[in-house]
Amino acid sequence: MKKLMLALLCATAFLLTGCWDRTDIESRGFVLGIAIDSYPPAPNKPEKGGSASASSEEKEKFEKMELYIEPPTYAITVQLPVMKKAELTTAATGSGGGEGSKTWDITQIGNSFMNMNREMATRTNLSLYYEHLQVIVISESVAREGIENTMDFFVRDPEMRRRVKVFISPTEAKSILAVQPRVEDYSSIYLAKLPINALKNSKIVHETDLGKIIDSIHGGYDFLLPRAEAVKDEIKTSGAAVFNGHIMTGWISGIELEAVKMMGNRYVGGVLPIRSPGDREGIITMEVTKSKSKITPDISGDFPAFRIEIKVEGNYAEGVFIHTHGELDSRFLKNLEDDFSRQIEKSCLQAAEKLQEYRADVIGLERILESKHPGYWDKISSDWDDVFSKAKIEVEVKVELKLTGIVK
Amino acid sequence: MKKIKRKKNPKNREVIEERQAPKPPSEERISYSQLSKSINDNYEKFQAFLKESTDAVFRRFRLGINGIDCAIVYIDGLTDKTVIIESILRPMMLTVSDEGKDAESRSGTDNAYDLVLNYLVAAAEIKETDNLDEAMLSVMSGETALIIDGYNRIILISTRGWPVRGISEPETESVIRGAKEGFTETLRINTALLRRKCKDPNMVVRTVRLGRRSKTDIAYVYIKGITNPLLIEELEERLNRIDIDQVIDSGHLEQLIQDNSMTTLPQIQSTERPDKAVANLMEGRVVILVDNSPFALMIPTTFSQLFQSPEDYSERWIVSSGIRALRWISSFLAVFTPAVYIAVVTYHPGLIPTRLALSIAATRDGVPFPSIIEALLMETTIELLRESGARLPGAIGQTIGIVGGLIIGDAAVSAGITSPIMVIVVALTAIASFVIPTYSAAIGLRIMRFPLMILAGILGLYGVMIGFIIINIHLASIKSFGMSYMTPQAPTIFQDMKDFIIRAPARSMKKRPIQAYPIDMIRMDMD
Repeated sequence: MKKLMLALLCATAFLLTGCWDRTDIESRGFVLGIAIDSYPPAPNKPEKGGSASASSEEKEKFEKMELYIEPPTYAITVQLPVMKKAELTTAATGSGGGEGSKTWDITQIGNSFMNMNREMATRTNLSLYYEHLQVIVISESVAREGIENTMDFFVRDPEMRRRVKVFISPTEAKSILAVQPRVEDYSSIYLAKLPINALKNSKIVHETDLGKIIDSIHGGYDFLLPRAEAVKDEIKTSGAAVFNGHIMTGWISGIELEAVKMMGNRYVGGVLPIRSPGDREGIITMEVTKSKSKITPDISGDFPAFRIEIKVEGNYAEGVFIHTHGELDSRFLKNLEDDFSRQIEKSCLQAAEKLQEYRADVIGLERILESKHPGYWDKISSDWDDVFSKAKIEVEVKVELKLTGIVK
Repeated sequence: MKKIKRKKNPKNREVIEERQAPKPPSEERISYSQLSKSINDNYEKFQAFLKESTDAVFRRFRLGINGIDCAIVYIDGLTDKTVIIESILRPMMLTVSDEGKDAESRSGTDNAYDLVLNYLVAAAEIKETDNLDEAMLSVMSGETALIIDGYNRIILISTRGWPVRGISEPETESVIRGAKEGFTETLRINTALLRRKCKDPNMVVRTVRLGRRSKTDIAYVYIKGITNPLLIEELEERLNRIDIDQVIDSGHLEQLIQDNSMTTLPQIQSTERPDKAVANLMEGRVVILVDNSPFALMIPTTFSQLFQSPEDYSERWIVSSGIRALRWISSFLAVFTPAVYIAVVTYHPGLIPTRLALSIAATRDGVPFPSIIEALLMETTIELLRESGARLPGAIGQTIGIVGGLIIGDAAVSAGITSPIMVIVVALTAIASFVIPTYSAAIGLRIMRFPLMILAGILGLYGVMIGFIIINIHLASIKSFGMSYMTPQAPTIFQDMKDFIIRAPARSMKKRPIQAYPIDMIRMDMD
């Protein structure tokens, strides 16, 4: 009897302490995407709801939370998937997406992310769950103020994963989540899968994981984040936001991004068109299969000089409007390779100049300098941004065409 | 192996001592069990026991030669009457004086008993006794007792012959490639099946009788020169300690001689297949056959053996290894799938890929029960279906399968009682548990998933992990006739790993497994 009582007592230890975090899967709100906007919204962007109607003002009032500390500075929007069976019950409170939307975008206005996150519990019957978070979209206005504070909650919270993809939107971030994609049910999953296409197109930034960004912020390195723009049912990511430290300093275009990737040895695939040599109308496209860069710093001058040697390998992928059939001989190819080299050199130098203007070393020159000349680095590291903007960058590209394809 | 731990239960001790000490014969016993010279006395003694039984046959007659009173006693139905007529009654009654005299002169004796024994009874197997108890037992097992007036000895003639079930394909352990014969209920046929597969005269078949009343024949078979004598000694000791009125079946005997009864897993393997039994004999194990049971027991048994099928050795080793691996995986699935599902769905949805998590959430939406209740409900249902299918006659059993599989599965989902994913989990569990070739191991493992589900429901994956550890500790603690159940994992015996999760090529298994500590290790020429 005593033994039985003891066993029962031990069992109560399990029975009473277990289950505390039990939540059935259907009563969790899977947050798929988060959009962070500044509040009040940047005035320079008249949006689709620009003619502020009475209902939207009311809505905004609803979304504003009681605050201990005024004023509210951020508007955060979380995207919850709407399960098929539950579709009918949602539209009423759903903000963001219109009717028939497969998501429920909840916007909360406040200033502490943790606080805003918990405030949403007052507005949803689900318990918000962040382990399946796919994307964080940050608006330009927030990014220009610096994202370190913004990211803090997402880094500290144990439910957050380091593989979350981060995007910067030149417009309101919320509008990116409001996209209703054609194939995918949820815009967040759609957006999170876009960087994979960096293998096909080098205008996309693929190193956009939250973990990477945190590394860069805390390591004091400059970095790039992909730019995301949206229309009603599509999102485009091309080009990048350049960050100096954690503060966004400007945009670079897709073509500039290609050059930056090549210089920084982060090129994973893409294509490169060029005017055909000796043919004013022809366009020849190279599919780049491999691009390796080697950076050699030279510290003899006042400012360091960097010599970037890029070795590009690619295939002759396409020729359009070519009037010179049957001339793929070695001389023609040599000319072609030289032309490609020159074009890449040119765009690299342009991109580098822009980066120097933004004072953001996203190529990763500082890491090379640090490892090759640690003594010198120690002296200049404190004002590296300055040094970088004045450093001399030389680019030398060597292109090699491997395959020309079979046409017959 | 050397030392077998035994609980020191003083009560048991007493029993053993009592049984070993020779009993002082009581007066009554003597008068009953000792035979007299008078046929009438002996005849009455038999009648005292058997008069009321209608299947006992008494037949008095006179010897053809000299007219001495004789009688036979046998049980109708257990005996072959043609044998009784042709080899007992006909020669004894119809051999008339002349031939008899001839026989008498040849034998040079007028001792009727010797005459009968040596010249008249033309049966192959004969015993003599002066003890009534022994005579009774023989009669009850199908022999015919021959009483001759003037002699206090009885001749017991083997006339056994009763209807037997033919050798048929073993139903619980069917194979695609391999022998199709299975053991039957008759001990003699079973030993013959073993002999047919191994003609080694070193194969010993020893018999003991167990059961105070049932007197069931228990045969244990081993190969002298391979089987470790300590194992046989231990088995004999355990058999000797049994004091019971009846041994129902080999499964019953298994529980009387097993090491640990607080477990769901069999520590003694049973088989219906003679080829499997002989293969085990060759590895130094002892095979126990119980009369009236088509299942042979094999000791000692390890956990890994429960995952082996005779077919593994008939197919190419790569194929067999793949199938073995499949069985191990399926045993994991059978035990852990519902528990892991519950844990992941209620506590750790972050572990599921996003799309799957969303679709599970969508299907679970509207199910009124938490997943632990849902899982227990569905798992109980599938056990119900299995049990009812097993108990019902074949034709209805199939109907039950259809009712269960299609109607309950489908209807439960559309009625919103359960989610489709739960049906998949339950089906997977059930199918996986049927892959395990040993039935008793399969049910033993299957029952473990219920406590695991509850653990998962309370503590999540942490609970499943605790359950997994407890199961492992438990498995490692079990012994089968002194051999660790988890051999060859724990203790690790690398040589035996050749026949574990993978089945090594036949030519590479040159030694017998160490698991049963055979005396002779060499199975194949080492060159």
